[in-house]
Amino acid sequence: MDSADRQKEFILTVEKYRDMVWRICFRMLADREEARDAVQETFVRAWQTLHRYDSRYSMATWLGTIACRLCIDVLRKRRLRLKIETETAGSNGNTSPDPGAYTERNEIENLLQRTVRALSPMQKAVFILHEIEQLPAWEIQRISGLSAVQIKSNLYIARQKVRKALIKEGIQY
Amino acid sequence: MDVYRNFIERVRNNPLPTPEPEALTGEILEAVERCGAPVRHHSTAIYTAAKAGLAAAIAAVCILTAVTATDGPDRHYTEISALAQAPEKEKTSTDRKTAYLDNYRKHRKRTAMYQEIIARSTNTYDHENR
Repeated sequence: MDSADRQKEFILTVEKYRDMVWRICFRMLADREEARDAVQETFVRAWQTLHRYDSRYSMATWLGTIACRLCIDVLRKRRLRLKIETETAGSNGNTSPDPGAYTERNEIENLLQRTVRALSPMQKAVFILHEIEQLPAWEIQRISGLSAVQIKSNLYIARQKVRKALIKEGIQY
Repeated sequence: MDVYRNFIERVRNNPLPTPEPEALTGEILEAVERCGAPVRHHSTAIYTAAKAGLAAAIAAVCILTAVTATDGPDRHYTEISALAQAPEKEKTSTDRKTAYLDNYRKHRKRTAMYQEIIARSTNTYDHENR
């Protein structure tokens, strides 16, 4: 396969999985611009490491792995940055990204972002992949690099935190 | 059904606004390959460059952002955008080289790798436009 064919095939892959990668990135990062960058970075990395792709596994899992790890890195850096900013500015510590910053997001997405705010990057990843994207456990294991037990415990904590946040929000469906 | 389960169901059934198509075209993939270095990029700048159809500008975006990666991705963002948005006819090969090198000189952390990337890119550009 020559270079042009490889590119064409890869662009089809991008088209096919773009929405899935976008959902993961956007729900993890809760920031439109950061999510857009993460989506593109995911595909650029995938393109650069295409030779390492193991065809025994689905392309969705592989792209999910790249996207998820990228987002976890972004969240960790963001936490560190916020910590430094809080320390230097001496603010009250309430410096979480503004959930209202993304105006196109609707009410339910805003609520989701408010309720997952207290989760650690890994808890957020497991929560989104399992509860929202409904991926099977083995796939989450592969994407997150966690063991089955770690996934269970992260999911348990995440559920508890989200439940608590929902109650705090006074949600009654 | 409890509040939590109900909430999850609503999120699952809630359509998430889809983003506009990302500018990951063959041109960009080519530029990424051409740079051959850890590419740090800014999607908006690349998108702008792609819309303008400037292969060399896309390569420049990749290179400049690679150069700026160590000091923060947004350092030269304005300059990169300006370079990408300027009409093709206003830019000569010399302008481009000067722009690359100016940005390069401004930067504090210069490594042999980045120098090599810039040289490779300008050579490619000259070759393409000969």
